[in-house]
Order: sequence, then C-alpha cells, then structure tokens
Amino acid sequence: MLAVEKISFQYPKSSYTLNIPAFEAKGGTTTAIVGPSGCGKTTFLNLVAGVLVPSSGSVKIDVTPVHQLPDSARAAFRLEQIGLIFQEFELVEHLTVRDNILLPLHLGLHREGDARSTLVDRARELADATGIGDYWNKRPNNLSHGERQRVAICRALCVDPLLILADEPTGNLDPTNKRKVLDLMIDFAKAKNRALIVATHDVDLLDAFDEVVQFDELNQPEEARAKG
Amino acid sequence: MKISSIAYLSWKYLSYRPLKTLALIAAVALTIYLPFALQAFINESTRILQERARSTPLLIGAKGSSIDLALNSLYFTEQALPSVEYGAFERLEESNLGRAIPLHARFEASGAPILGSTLDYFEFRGLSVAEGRMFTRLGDCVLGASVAKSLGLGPGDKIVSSPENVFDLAGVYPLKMRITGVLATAHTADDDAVFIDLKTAWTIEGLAHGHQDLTTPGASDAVLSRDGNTIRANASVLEFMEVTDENVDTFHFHGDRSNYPISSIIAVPDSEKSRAITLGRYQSDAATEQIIVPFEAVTKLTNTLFATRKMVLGAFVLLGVTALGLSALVFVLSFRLREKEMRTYAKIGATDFTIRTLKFAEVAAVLVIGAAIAAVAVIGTQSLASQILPTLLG
Repeated sequence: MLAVEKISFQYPKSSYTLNIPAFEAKGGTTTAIVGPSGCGKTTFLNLVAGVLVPSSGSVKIDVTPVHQLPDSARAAFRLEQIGLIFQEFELVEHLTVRDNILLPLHLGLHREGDARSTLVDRARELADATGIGDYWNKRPNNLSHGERQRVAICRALCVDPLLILADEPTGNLDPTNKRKVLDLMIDFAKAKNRALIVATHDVDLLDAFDEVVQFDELNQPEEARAKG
Repeated sequence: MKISSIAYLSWKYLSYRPLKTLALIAAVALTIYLPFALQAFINESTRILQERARSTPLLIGAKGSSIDLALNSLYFTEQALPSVEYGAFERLEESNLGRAIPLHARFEASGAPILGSTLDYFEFRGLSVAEGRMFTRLGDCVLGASVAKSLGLGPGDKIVSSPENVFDLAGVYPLKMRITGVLATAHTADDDAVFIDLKTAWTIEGLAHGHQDLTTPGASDAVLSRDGNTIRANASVLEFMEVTDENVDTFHFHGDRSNYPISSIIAVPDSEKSRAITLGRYQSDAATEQIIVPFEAVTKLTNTLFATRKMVLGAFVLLGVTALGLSALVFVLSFRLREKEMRTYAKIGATDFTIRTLKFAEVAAVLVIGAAIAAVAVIGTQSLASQILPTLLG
C-alpha cells in the first residue's frame, strides 16, 4: 500500500533534515508514529501525502510514485486517494457540516452522475454513523470539539481513500472522545482494508494500533544509522 | 474542477459575510453608478433646456446677460434684467414680421412664478386647459398642472400674489386672484407657473387699481375736495385687493400703456427674411433692447455645464479609483486572513489553479453584482431623469 524508501527532506533556510530509510504500511494495518515534538512526524505525513516533495528517495502509494507526480497531479491524487485528518480539525467555518464533509467534491474530486450521489449518500451515512447527522446543515461553530473532529474524519473517509493520514487527531479531545475518534478510524481502515497512519503523543492509545513506530529513532542521519 | 462548485464555494463565503459583501458590492456599484448617473442627468437637462429654447425662435428684452434673459423668459426665473416697455412689443407687432408675444415674469404666488401674457402664449406653447376654463377678466388666473397639484387648488379657488416688499406701500400689491382653470400637463416649466393676463400683471404691479366710488357725491367720507373731474381724497379710501364681478368696473389704469413694463417679448418671425429683419432691427447701437436666439444662449449655458461635468466626473473617477482601491485592499486583507483556509484546501487536494479560481470567483461575483446593480440603477436614473428633471428645471 505505502512504501517509503530513503527519503530525505530539508526545509529552506533550516538546518533540520528528515531522513527516513524505509517505511511501509499495508492495507488493513494501523500504525502509530510517536516521538517528541519537532522530531518530524508532521513533515513525514506531509511528504507521504504529497503536500511536500522529498529531495531524494521515493514515496509510493499502491503503484503510484507520488514523489514523481507534477504538482497538479499530486494534488489530484491526494484528493482522490488520501484522507487527511488534522489536530486543529481545519474545518471551513462558513460551510455547513454537509459541505465540509463534501469539501473534496467541491474542490475538484471528479464524480459525475450516480457516483456523485453515491458520494453524497455516503457522506450522510458517515455523518449519521458518527453521531453528527443532526448537525448536517449546521456550521462548525455550533459543534463541540469532539463533533468537529468527527466532521473532519468524515471528510477524510467519505472519498474512500487508500491511505488515511492523521496528525494528532486526538490532541484536542477529552479521553472519552479520543477513544471514540480513534476507534472510528481504525474500524474504517480494518473494514475497508485501508492503511491508517496516525502521528500521536498519546501513549494511552497506542495499544489500539497494529504497529507503533518510534519516529525519532527512525529519523536518523545516515551516518548515525551506520554507526548504530 | 467544476465551475458550479467554485461558484458554490464563493457564494457560501460571500453570504457568510453579508455586511462585508454588501459594502463591497455597494462600493463597486456606486463607483460605476455615480459618473453614469451624472452623465444621464446632464444629458437629459441639456436636452430639456435645448428643446424649450429651440421651440422659442427669438427673444427680445433689456440689454444685459443673454442667459438671464433666456432663463427668465423660458423658465420664469427671477427677473435679473430691467423691464422693457410695452411699446417695444407694440412696435414689433406693428412691423408685421410675424407673431409677437409679450411676457411679464416678475411676480410669484405661493412660491410659483406668475407669468403675465396674452392668450397667444398658450397657443404658441400648445397649452390647453384640462379643467375649468381660460381666464376671461381682470384678476383671473389659470394654474400649471404641477402648481395646481402641489397647492391642491383648482377652478373656483383663490390664490394671492406675493408682495415683493411689505414696506413698499406704493409698489406691488398682493392681489387675490380667481382660479378659472388648470392646464394639462406639458412636462415643461409651464406646469409650474401661474398664468394671468398682462393687465392683471400690471394690476399687481400697481399700475391699475380699483377703489370705492368717489364720483357720487356723499359716497365716501374720504373725499377732501372736488374740482370738476378732479377729486381729492384722504388715505382712508378703500382700495380693492381682489377683482370681483361687482368691482371690476372700478379698476382703471393710469398713464400711457406704452410705458408699462414687460420683461421680454417672444418673436416668432413668419419667414427667414422676417427673421433676418427682426434680428437686424436690434443690432444697432441705438437699440434700447437686445434680441437673442434662445438656443444659442442656452447652448452657452450648457457648455458651462459640460465644463462643470468634466470636473465633477474627474472627482467621481478619483473617488471611484479610491473606492476600488479600498475594495481591493479589503479583498487582499481578507484573503490574507483566510490563508489557513486556503492551506487546508491545498492540503486536501485543491490545486493552485483551483484556489486562484476560487479567489477570482469571489472578486468577480462582487464586481458583476455591483456592476449589474449599477446598470439597473443607471437605466432607472435615465428614465427617472426624463420625468423629474422637467419639474426640477421648471
């Protein structure tokens, strides 16, 4: 599903360098990447999603070499195949729950005729299943933190992506909501045989994942790894 | 990317911030509307001014500003030039070069100008009585359609001329006039005037008067002495302020009518030759009156309007540029504040082109709606201008 090989990345005017020798995630598996703040978890997720492009190495999702795609094709691929969930939810305040969930469709996801109505139906089903169906026509500012994060998850899942990337999705939630939100993502990944990668600080939730990767150990300069 | 989706997202944002959106639309609409509306008003006022001037071949009046003469004679504005003598009208009429119509436009009644003239004026302007009848005797008047409407007066009612100076005991008398008719709407300055016979105008001027009978011995205690046809009386003699059927015969004029004042004369030559002769008559240095072609005088005035228009239009363009600049600034700041939202779009998978199109669509929607409102308002103003300007200019 996801195969990352020898990628490195450096932000302009920054001495920090990300080096990942190899990373894999198979369909139906759930992976937690943990590590201290600033160790590069978010950067890694952005590289996998194609938001950033590695200076070397490769990122393949299924058979698609994401790192080689031109900007517009990479954006289109992300829209179709990757579901992104953010710590701050990143909902659009002037759109209703419905429109937030269907945002990929508004931003250019290609679905015509029946496929389009299927997607809308699916968005509604997800909203009902996650308990936010009653807020379908409400704006996010009327929702609690937990409900907002569920809207963000529905937005990521409604396009039925191959890969789900979540960056601290439970960071702003209370313990009860944390577990609910995580279960929601894991259940989806298992049921649909999709890969789920979650960057988290929350050690209490790690038992729910198939794999846990200590990211600061993974992200080492080549020389350090050679010595190790 | 579907245009409908972009339009939908744009609309969602614009409707989420209605006040900001409305302010921007209003700024755009006003920026476009004001210069065009001004243009429409000036064009229409020029057309109306020129139309009335064009229908008045020649004007004769006291020497001085041709524009003052034209405005007083065509729009009954305050008489700025001295009067001319009625004898000038009589001489013109005797020359048989065409039609001559005397005008006396000096007084007011309830804020409306009073025009003293002859029945020829009504025929010349194509005015007809819509209600009641034309004036028949001294002290009668007919009202223009707008005056009648605004004052709520009609046939059978009375209207009093305004004294020019309450301390001028020997001057202009307030005369209570009987309204005999109301004219049909003409959409010209005539709608806003009160029309009287020239003799009634002179009566207001104090050149004719009526008072209690002093000729019959013992009729009044005011009589001081009698010497043949000469009767001397004191100030207690009752002067009539209203002409009635009972006292109309007591009204009489003093002095030579040829010396009575009129403000101007409309000359309607019956041929090009007559026109040339009429024009020539007033060209000499010895002539005590001037003759003008009203169209030329009004064109002079409208040229001044054109010069003013250029200045005002320039001011509007500057204001417009400022308003558009501020609108652009509002958009730029707004997009900057929404940077996070745009980054979210990009992370989810929107291309740069999609995001740029989204921004463009919001700006375009405001511009198009603003322009559409301005276009409708301009069309409305154009049709409104043709309706309200005659009244305003009248």
